Amino acid sequence: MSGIDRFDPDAFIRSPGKYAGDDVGLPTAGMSVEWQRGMVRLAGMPAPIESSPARWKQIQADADAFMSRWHEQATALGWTTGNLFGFDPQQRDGNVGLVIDIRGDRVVALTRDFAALKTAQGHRWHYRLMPDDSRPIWALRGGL
Amino acid sequence: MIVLSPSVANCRTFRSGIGSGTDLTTTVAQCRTTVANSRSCCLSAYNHKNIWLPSGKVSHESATVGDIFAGSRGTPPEQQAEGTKKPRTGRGFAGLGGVGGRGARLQRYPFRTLNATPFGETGQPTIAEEGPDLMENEEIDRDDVAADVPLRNAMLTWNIGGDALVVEHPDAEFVSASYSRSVGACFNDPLARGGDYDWPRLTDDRRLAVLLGWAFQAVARDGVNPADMERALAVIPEYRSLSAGR
Repeated sequence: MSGIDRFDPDAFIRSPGKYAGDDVGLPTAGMSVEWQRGMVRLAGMPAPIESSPARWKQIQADADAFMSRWHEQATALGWTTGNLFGFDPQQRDGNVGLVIDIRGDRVVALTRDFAALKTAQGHRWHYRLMPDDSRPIWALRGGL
Repeated sequence: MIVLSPSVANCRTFRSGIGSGTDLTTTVAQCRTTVANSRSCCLSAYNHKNIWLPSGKVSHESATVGDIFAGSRGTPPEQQAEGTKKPRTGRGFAGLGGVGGRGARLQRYPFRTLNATPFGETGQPTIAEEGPDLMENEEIDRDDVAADVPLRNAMLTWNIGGDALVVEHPDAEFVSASYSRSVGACFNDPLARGGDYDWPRLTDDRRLAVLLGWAFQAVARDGVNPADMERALAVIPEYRSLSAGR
């Protein structure tokens, strides 16, 4: 994987030149500008009212871990922002993007249709590609 | 009447047509061409807020899967009288840690597993290879969902805070498409191999143990309704035998 080994929003804010590539200091290392900005936004968002602080921290950690390891593959395989970060508060049936659904598990494989994950106990399960018609979680109102 | 099939409804061309207001007939024709000529045109497209059909605009909230696949008439949300809309169910925001409700899972479009990926062939037939029947005049029969599913081919699917479904893998009729989590026979997918479970080589006892372990986790950790889980597992004859003490 080229470029950023582990995306650090704090480092990005402190020294955007580290990720320099265009006039706003965003990276050219494979991660899209939208994802970079979304990650920065997500890292600074307080927990929305719908979420417990612990759950929100988990989402932030999952996003960080996933993007650090898989963002290039996700891009190449066609996973969209909605596929990864989609969340619609009006839909209460658990239909969320991959990153929101990781819940502390570990992504071990990514294909165009599904992601294979392992729980902390080593049990494997598949996340199946969901629609990308939801706005990313960092666009939640009142998040910032 | 144009009947939407998964192969058409899930096509990117079709999806872009929905968004841009392109005439549906033209869009479907383009999709057919795309489906016939390409192995990479389909992605999940179900759960679109608004689907345009010749008979009018169908909202995913007002249309059943039968409505959508039969091309029949959903009532646009804006024309629905207040109070007649289907109430949202649920007790919280599943995605953010609450426990969600049980939606009508079959309202959405299913999606298709790709035949080819950057990592190689999946071994599954392409849409074109499966013939034109998949492109048109296809409806999902809900009764199929309740048919027995041999343990060897059983795939357990569920959603966080939702319900569960056991279907035969591969899910040729896409009845499980709106469930985001799956275990079991989906481990057969060549792209998923190399993991912990070599599903075809497992004994039935081990397969059942894997499924039951995940059923427990789905209920205890993911908030799936236990009665739904029991109902889902009951389509597996081996599970019924176990429950009956045989």
